Amino acid sequence: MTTFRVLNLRRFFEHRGRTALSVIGIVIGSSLVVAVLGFFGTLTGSVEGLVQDLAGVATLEVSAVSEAGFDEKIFFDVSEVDGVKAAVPMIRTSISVQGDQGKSMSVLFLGLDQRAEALETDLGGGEQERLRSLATKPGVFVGSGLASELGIAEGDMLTFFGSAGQKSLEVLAVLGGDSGELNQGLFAAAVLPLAQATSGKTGRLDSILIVTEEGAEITEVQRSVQAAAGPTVSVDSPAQRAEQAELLTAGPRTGMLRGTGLALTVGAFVIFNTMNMAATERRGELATLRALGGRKRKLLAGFLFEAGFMGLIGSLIGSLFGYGIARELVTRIPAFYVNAVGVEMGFHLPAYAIPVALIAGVGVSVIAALVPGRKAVSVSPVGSMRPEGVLESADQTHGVAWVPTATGLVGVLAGVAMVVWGPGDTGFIGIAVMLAGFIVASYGLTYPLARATSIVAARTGVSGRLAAAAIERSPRRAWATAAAVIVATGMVVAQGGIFNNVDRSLKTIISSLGKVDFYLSTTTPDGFNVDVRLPAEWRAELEAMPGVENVGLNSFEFITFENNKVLLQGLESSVGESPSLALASPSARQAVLAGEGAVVSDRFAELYGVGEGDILPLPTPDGVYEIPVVDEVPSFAWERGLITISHEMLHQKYGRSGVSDYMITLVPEADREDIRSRLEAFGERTPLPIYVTSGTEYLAAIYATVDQINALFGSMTWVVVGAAALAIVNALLISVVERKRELGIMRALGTSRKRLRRMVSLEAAAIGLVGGIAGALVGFVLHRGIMGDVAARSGLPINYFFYPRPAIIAFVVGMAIAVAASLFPARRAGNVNIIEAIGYE
Amino acid sequence: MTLLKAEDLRRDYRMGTESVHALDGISFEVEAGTFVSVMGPSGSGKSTLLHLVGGLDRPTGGKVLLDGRDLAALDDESLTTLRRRELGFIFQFFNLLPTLSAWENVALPLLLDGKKLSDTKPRAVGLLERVGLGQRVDHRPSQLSGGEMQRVAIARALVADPVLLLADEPTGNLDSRSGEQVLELLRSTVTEDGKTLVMVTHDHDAASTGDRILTLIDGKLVQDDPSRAKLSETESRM
Repeated sequence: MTTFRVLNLRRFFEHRGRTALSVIGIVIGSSLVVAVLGFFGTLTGSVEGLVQDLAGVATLEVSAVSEAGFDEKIFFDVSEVDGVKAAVPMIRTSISVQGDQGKSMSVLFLGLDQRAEALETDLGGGEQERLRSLATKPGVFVGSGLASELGIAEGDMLTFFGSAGQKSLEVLAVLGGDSGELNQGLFAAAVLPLAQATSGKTGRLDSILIVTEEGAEITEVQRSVQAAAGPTVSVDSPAQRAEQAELLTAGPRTGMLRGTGLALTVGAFVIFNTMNMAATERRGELATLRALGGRKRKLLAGFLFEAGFMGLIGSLIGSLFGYGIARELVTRIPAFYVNAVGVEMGFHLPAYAIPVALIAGVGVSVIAALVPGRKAVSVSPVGSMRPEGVLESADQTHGVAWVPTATGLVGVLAGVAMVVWGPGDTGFIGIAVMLAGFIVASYGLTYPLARATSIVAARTGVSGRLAAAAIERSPRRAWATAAAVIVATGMVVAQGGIFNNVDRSLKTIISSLGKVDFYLSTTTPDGFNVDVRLPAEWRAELEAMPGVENVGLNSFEFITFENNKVLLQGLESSVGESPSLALASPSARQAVLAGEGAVVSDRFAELYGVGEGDILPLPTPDGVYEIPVVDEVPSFAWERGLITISHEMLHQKYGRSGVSDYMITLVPEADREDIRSRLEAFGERTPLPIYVTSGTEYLAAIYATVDQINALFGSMTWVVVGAAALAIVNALLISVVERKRELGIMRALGTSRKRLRRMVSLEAAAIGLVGGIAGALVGFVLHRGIMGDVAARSGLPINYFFYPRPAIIAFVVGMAIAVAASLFPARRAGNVNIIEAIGYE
Repeated sequence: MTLLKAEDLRRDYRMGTESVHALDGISFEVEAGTFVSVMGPSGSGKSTLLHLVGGLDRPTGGKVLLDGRDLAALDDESLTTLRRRELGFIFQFFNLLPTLSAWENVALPLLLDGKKLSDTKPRAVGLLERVGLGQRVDHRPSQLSGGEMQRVAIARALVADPVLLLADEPTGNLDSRSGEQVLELLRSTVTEDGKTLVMVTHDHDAASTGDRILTLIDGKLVQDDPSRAKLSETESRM
């Protein structure tokens, strides 16, 4: 440890800039690890927390297949099943509420009665007696979060907007303690019958929680309960809700893990590059240590410690950043996701997140340093007797190094195989393996790469020929610089291609949304609101409005299909259309609008094996309704699958009145501004937020969301490019420092400062050119691989298109970065002091 | 007592397609407590000889025996330990680590031997005082003159109390005054501490500081004479 502290650690603080540059890659990678785990931990942790808080000792739950709930008579059948010790009926839904001060929000609404005591939860927080006596009055209990958000207190009135209309209830008590923190305190609860009436579910329930007899076989009880309850409900563990929530995030999680894998790979490369440069730079020092009796193993351990320490610093800083990013991301969780799972998100960083980031950061750093470390300590102690610079030609190779080349190519192929055929989330590992494979293969091709670079440099005059000689003499250094350019260019090309493909596919699919003149909605264009509906009777008024040609209807519902939350869309439209009907065949469109068929998304057909020509067993509160699937369409709407039926059928089968969006098409000569202000006047009829959006604005809002996501990933790419640029500066600077003596001799022989500066810049430009071409090729392969993975796993209907523009941009940027990165080293080269340089020490 | 013995020592290198005999069958013995200078023109093989004697390189043929042990028979690990504990190196270019202070540079061989830095300080500082650098123990190499750096290097070579000191052109990079000081210091390690020293040099005057001069030309030992200093010392005794 002492040798590490004295020989390695001190070097860190001596070269703070270089240390900082080396850890950037690891900072990025580990911050993403923590951000991704924190973000998705929050998504599932919040649901798990609520499940635990509400379900208590319950081991089974009967839940509805849709937001409409199920017939409460089922409760009696269920409670008599053998093995059921207690059954607890419950209303558990999202509802919009408004306080006295006019502020409204969507919250969890619970309906319970004294049977809930069988769950042995903390609900009531030791005040059960007082609450029981209060519950005799018509009113609600609210959580502390809701009370503070709406500024309400005991005795205030709270207005609820259920599907049966609005209802005002007195706040009986604001719950404190643990029970007040349920769902981040954003909930309201009432006695069961009042909750049923308020939410428009009189005679219906959302859930029955079951406490089983001690020793009862749970799966047996589950089967019996399912048989007793019938097919209109699903019976599963209460934890199933958390599993459903986890499934909902599978697509984005895959995408973000892919980004994390790439960032960690780039981080490993930057560490490798730094340690490789350090190995070259410290050859003389290591030779001295070897001559003085330093053991190889001990020196290697110091080298690896050094890399591990950089990884540790990087991952500690990254964890802090990641924590901040995760917290920020959690505040941006889309409303439709919160609606889908019915849970308010409270930040949950899994206990393993930071240890995983630290292990990943330290692990990749140590692995990345292994090869340069071994190379560094294998230096002959005889080197200590030679003056600086004499060892420079020691590591020259001539030709292809087959072992790393073959290993790298095997890595690329293994990465492709993992992407194409690998199970689950291995796609992101595959992408990382592909990138690592390219880097390793390029390492094996060091000499041909250096040769190609020197040929390019030699064609640019006398300075170029001098640069070419320098490149050929130090191929490893040329490789380190070229590999940084390859990584940066490859990332830009791959990312540019992916963004282009996402953009193009999305625009093709959702373009029909822009044909509608105005949307009158309960939510912004990038969300679905399944809780709140606009009154159905508005339709006639809207149709009667002068200038309105047609009013289409669109409503959403979440249903449980094969234990997944599937989005169900009801449409009625004649001119403007939702993509799911616009992309369907004319006959399929006609069948849907006539209530004779359903259109499903490609993802739905893929996940559940129910596609065009099949009969879809649609779960409804009254049992399974069989409907033919008349077409499959690509859709971005919902990763777990989208089913589109007629609006009338949605209303009939799921019993909920009202409309999510009115889609209004105008006659050509209509006064758009006048109609817009009249539509906005509709919004003043209800205290709930109503959005009036033109078709163009609607599309722009969706594009803006996609652009935001692209910008997030884009910023990651540019940070990687920045790190690569710093790596180039590092390599060129070391090159100048190492060649100080040679540069001094050249100056002594009459070479001008300008020519030396030009020589270093030409070396960088030649490397930029060759690295840029190789990087563009790597980028194209990565782009193809990632798009294949995205299409196969994320459920997004994104198609691969070859897109050359980023290659041109990356090529120019790569060259520019290489030349810009060479300016400082070139200046140092030009300013070398002849007397100092040609002296040995 | 013979401390060092070379028997028909050979070292060949390949230069392109040609084989170069850097050392061509050299034999000599060095008594413990003597100062031997090795002289010769560039390319004569004197540095190669030092590499072989110091266990930095392995011979193509012949033997190097240190205290009766054949260095060629030792594996890399044993040679490393031997260099750390029994040999002291003094380099032409000092080879001090720029990030360490003077006393830390001196303590380096002990550190490599697993000692704690704090435990090594008294000895390192003591040696620096001995070489006249007691006031500069905390200075970095960049803050020292060439002569001072070489004195730090000598202290470093002595720190592990080695049986044999090997110096490669120790005055080659110094001005004449600093060179003289360094030679005096080296001489004193032999006369006062009883160390054995083998020094490679181009400089006749420097070589004369030793007890004996081995002269190499084209890889062969062509002369093995007592030095002028030794002769005059012997004459004065007579």
